[in-house]
Amino acid sequence: MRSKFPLRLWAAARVVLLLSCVAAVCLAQTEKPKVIEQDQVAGSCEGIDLEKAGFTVRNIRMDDPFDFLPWVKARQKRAAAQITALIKDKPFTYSDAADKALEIIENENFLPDTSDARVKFRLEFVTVANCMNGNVDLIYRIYSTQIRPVLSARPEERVKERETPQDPAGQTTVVAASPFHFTPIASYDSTNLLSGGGRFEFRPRKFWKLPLKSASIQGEASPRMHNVVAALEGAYDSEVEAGGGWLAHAEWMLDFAHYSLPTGAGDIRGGHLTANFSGVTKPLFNGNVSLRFGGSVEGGNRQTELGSLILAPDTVPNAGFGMVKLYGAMDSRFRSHIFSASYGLELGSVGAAARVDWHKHILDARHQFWYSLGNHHLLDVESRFTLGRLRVPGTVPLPERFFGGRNEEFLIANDDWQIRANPVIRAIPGNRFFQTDEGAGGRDFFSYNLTAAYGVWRATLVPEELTTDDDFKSELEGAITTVTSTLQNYYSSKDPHYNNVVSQLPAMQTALNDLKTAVAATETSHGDQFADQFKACTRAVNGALRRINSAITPQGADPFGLISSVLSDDPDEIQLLKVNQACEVDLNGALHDANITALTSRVETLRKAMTAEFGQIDAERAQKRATADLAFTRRTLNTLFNDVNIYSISPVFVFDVAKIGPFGGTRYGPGAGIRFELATTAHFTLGYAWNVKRGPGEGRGNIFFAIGVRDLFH
Amino acid sequence: MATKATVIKMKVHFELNTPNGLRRVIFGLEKDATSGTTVTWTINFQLFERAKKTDPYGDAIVTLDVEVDKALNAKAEKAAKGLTAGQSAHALGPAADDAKAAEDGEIDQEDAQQTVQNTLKKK
Repeated sequence: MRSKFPLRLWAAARVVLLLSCVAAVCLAQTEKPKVIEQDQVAGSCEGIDLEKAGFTVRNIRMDDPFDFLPWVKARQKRAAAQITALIKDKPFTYSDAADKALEIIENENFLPDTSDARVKFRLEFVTVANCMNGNVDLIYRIYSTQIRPVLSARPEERVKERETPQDPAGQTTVVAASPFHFTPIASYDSTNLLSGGGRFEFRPRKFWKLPLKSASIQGEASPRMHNVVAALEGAYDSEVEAGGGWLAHAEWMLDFAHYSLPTGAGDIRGGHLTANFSGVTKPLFNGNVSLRFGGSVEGGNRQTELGSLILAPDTVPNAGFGMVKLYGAMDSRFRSHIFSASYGLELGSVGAAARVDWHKHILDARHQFWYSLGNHHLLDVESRFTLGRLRVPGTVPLPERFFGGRNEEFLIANDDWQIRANPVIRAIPGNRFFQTDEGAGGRDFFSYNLTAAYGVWRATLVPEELTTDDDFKSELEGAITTVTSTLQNYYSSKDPHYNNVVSQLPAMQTALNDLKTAVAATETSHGDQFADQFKACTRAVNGALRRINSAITPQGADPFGLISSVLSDDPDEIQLLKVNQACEVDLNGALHDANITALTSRVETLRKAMTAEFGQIDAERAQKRATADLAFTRRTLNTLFNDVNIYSISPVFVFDVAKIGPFGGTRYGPGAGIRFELATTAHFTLGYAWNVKRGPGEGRGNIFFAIGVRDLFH
Repeated sequence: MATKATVIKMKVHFELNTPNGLRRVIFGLEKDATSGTTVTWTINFQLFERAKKTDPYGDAIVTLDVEVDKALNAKAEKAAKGLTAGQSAHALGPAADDAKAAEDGEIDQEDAQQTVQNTLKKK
């Protein structure tokens, strides 16, 4: 039996305990409204202080859209292993789960170094989910990308976005990684049979002291054909935020090529050495158009194993030759369209002679359209129209005439600028479309090719949780906005009014130094009188002087921002306006020193002149130019984020029309097939096209097949 | 059924390059919701320099971490969605200038931090 005293003590203890509990609950409610999962969706972590509530880390996950790339995956694995060791199955702490884990991720540097100019940014998110039974899952999301700003307008780049999104997203130019790259290739048609080969490229960080970036050799061969190209390439990119000139990108190449291609009736062969140069302008016309231009000189030989081929007039089967080519293009990229038109002129001579034995004109126009029907189910439609004309005032080697079929021949050997120079029809095997009224090889042609594909099965490149997250999307957009803002300041700094401001900086520097000296001398003569006013004036003069000195001789900053700030009327800034207030109004209002009045007046006159001049800078024009420069980058980012799939399987519909002249006839080739794309790893197209209006000796149709496999050295 | 994930930390890194290609500012904004009900924003400011455009940028010559005044939280949230021209000019101009001056001992570290934070106030 309990005594009365202990009973009272027990009751008092209960009251104290109750009050403590109430206080604890109140306190907890004040600091952290929820420490356990109550009054919310089961498993939600919203508003819970996971550390105080004593949660344990159940699992961790890392999301990176590019983790299908082996080198990104390797980094991710390393980071995940370290984070797992740090927090998994341990009590949750914000310091470890957020700060230390992010430090591990950042040390792994998910955005590789690049040697060219790009727009770069990185977003990192740490999220918690599934707060149940005292356990919590941690998800780390990393999205980093670096886009080459202008080149994304090219139709060739759009194909890369689909087949190898890691290239336009800047995940591949890894300076520290292996400089060697190897990409297998294969294709099939009934003329060439199954051919295989590859491209080997050496891309060091520095190519000794030569103006080159890579050396490559590409070859493809079958029992009936071969095609080999060896090349040395160099390139230049203008700085993204440096605006300025009209040239965005330039490249040059020296290449040697040798080929032998069957036509079904004989073989055409050739070997040549080419030096070519090409350039791309910055976006023009409000960022909607960019221009390309280039030229090349070429020399070599063309040969023919005639077989049953009939030579057309003015045509020789074998000859040495020299050629000059000039070419230009206009590219335009919108949200879901790319339009590109190229024109090429070829002037050739038989032998090393300064005359024109033949001239060739090529027009090659492409339109690409893509649209997501449903979430990332992409409808992709590509149209291509090519027109060619050959005129022969002298003689021309037979292989220079037009030979068409499934194969594509290009006016220049450049992967990034493909000007198609022969009639392409997928219903006829390679080089078998050549019979004309005057013999083998056309003098004129046109071809139109339509390819439509619809992604039936797909997995999105960027996780759907992110593509539907409005905050994430706006922050992604914000990265481009930031670069645009920086570029806008650059263009503002090129305004003539800005130069007028800069030209007045030395005068302002002198005026401030004179004022500083005069104020110091006057302060000495006044002893402790007006100490606060002297101090404020000296501080204002020194601050303004430091900004002006830095603007004249930048120490760590950009002069535009310094000038903008020192001329502003923002009270948070070190500004020239404060000099007049502190020295003339506050200090000299008491001193009435004529010399200080004269000197502050000089500063103020200069300030007003500079401010007026600065105000005349055409900020709107600068903003438009900057927006135009980044227009393609913004559209590429949208494509990568919203349209690209990590894999997709698409039925493909094709329709081709091709005509060869003189009097070679018109062919029509409807067809169908299937396309499988596994981003970076492989892309594969298999189909059949019917030759519905076939000519003599031509088959009923053709199987077309192409496969590309990823760079095996990565 | 999986529930909606809750963001406890977010980092955005903006890279700003001067037109001469010799200086770079990384303006990072970090949102921290790890202390329960309050959100803290921090600016990670780093300045890089190089002598020639062909040289790689080495380590940052100045690194400043500035905890943003709570009164500026809304501005930080907005800045994380992209810096304006005024903010970019301020980050590359006065903020970089004062960060370097503080590193060289010419001004106080707090003054430099205040200048960096003022970036958020710019239009």
